[in-house]
Amino acid sequence: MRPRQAGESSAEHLHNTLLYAAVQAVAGPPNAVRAIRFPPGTRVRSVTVDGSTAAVDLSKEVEQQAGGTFGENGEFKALVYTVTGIRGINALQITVDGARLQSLPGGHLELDEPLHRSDW
Amino acid sequence: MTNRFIARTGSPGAPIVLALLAASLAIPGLADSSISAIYQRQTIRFTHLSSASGSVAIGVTDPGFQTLLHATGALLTWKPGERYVLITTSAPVVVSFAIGDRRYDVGPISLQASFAPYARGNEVYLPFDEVLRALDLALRRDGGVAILQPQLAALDLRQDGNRMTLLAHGAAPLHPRTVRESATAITYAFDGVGTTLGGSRQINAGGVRTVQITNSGTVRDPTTLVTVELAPGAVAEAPREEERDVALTFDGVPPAAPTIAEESPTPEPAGAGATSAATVNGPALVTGIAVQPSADGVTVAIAITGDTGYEWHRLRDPDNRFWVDIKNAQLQGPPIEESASAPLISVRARQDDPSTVRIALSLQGPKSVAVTPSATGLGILVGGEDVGDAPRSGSGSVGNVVSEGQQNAALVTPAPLDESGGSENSGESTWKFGPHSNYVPTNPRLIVLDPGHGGSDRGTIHGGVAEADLTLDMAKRLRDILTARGWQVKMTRDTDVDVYAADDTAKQELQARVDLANKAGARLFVSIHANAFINSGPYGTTCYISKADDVAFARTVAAHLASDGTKDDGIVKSHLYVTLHTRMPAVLIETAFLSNPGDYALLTSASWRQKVAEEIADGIAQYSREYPVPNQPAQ
Repeated sequence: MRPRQAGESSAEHLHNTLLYAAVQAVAGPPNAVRAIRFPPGTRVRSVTVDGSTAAVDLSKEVEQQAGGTFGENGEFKALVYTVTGIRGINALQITVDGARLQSLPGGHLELDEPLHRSDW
Repeated sequence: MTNRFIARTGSPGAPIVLALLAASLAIPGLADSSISAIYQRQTIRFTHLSSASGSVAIGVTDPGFQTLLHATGALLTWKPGERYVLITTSAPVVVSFAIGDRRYDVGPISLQASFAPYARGNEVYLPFDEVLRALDLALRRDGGVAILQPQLAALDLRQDGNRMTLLAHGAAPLHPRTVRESATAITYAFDGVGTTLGGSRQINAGGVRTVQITNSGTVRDPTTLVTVELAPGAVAEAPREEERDVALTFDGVPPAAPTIAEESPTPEPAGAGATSAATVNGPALVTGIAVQPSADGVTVAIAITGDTGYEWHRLRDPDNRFWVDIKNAQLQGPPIEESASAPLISVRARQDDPSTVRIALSLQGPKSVAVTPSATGLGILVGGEDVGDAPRSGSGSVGNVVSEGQQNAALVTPAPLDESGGSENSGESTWKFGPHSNYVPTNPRLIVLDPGHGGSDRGTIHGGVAEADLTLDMAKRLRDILTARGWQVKMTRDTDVDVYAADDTAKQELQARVDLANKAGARLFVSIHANAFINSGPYGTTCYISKADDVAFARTVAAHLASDGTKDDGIVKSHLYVTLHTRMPAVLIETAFLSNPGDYALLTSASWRQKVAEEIADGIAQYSREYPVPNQPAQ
């Protein structure tokens, strides 16, 4: 990610940093690395910042999770730890296709309120 | 010890082909031109094309472009009004473009595009050639027809003792065929992929003498041939497919003397796997090294053409070695190894991996070292005096690459979890909870058991076995044991049903289970599950918790489950709905992984499920003895 650009406000810079961080976290490491991953095709649709809470909108594919508690827990922990690593962000609100959801179909995590590092 | 080499030469053919295509499309004033191109026998029509600085620009909402991204397994993230366009390739590598900025990033590598992406109306236009290269595709011409040709994009070499592995990476799943084999050479054909890696490379390690890459076939039906010349006695193993890569492994006979590669000055930095992303840029060239005595020591001048970043490291005294890795760079000519005058001992240069040139210095002591970019490359000044606590690493750039990009990237480095399920941040020492509750069960003899899933939600399914059925079976066994021991037991379900209603939402379902326990004023809540993962690797028993009140209970149960026959993965804190919202001490037990063969055998064994039920019951008994309910007799 490039450093702050001339003419880029601090709010824009935070937004751009968050967008990049979220996309990287959802993409995960290269395939050859054995890692817990979001379901194939899961994409970051957009990000927004409200105060110190980031909102990351994921595509519908995230609902096709077959990873059980193990995968689901790992995916979201990695995403929360990534975005809350950005200065000024301490919570993450998940939405799917623009809508809040309480938890994933057949899922285990509560997602309707912002997630924090202290949840893990 | 692993070393990485290079088996590629630049890509002299690509710019010409792309330039031809660009010329044919670069009609002045072109706004709504279109072209069709064939990708994997599918004709894709690109309609949102434009031209910029003589190159082709593609609109991100172009339906043909979307089709191509989908077909290659890539994902695009962009919203109107946003400055960044991010493409996640199937590798996956994140490619980031910024409107108005010629620089773009392919993973950690910062590159220059032929023009800056620009917005027009609700559309953003990207440099098409750069996007295609990031997708490991090449735009070729077959007569008047444009072909998007998948590329064998990289061939990395990995040495492990006497074994050498060639890792082939490309745009399409690679399926090598052995087309010629003799005692001295073996040729593999990769059908369907072309390459710009053509050429021959001396390896002379791990049983491999040379690797030669040639193009064969036609533009439409390309084949890339990889011929490996073997050292006497070396043996080729059958090709192995590793995810999207193909591994070709050779076993050599032990060498009589160490090779240059094995004199590598250092272990590779952690995670320093060569990224194929490095190949998308024209690499910088390290054209020469000059060692000159100066007033206060020795200057090592490294001549570099092109823009790139570098990173240096040094080891602590008494191991006085220093090296600088020049990224995305090729060493012109053979490796260099020269002795040098004090305070140096020697200077070496070699291609350390396909995209990195390493310059290594041996020093006569803990000498001061200063690295400075210069007009012609990089200068390293080694001082005559010893220094105490010298910095041990640093980085920078030569040419026009902005090094802050890399530093900034570190700020947002994702935190992926490995498949052990943990990370350096997890573990009991870092758990944070709210205060313990003052919860007093209105029914201290009641345990609520929650068999996970059920009804319309089967949970995870493997080999025809559904999690929902296993959890119900285990909960019933546990119920019978607890009842026999004098407990009252309520089940959130005791048949194969949804607890709230068929086809309800996940939250309605989970809330219904929580409500049942909270309203009943139960002493403890136990949710029983079977785990799963997308591959068969992970196995073991895990107890999940969320609240301060859960810790002691989960610890006791986990201690009893530790001997259940599969791995003990202990206790994991998470934000799980049922443990979070139940008011009493609760634990969600992921008994074992249906996706792992060993665990699957356990889960499908009735006697194992009985054993697990008994261990949970023993945990409940011990906990209730050690943590009696206030003002209530212990159970």
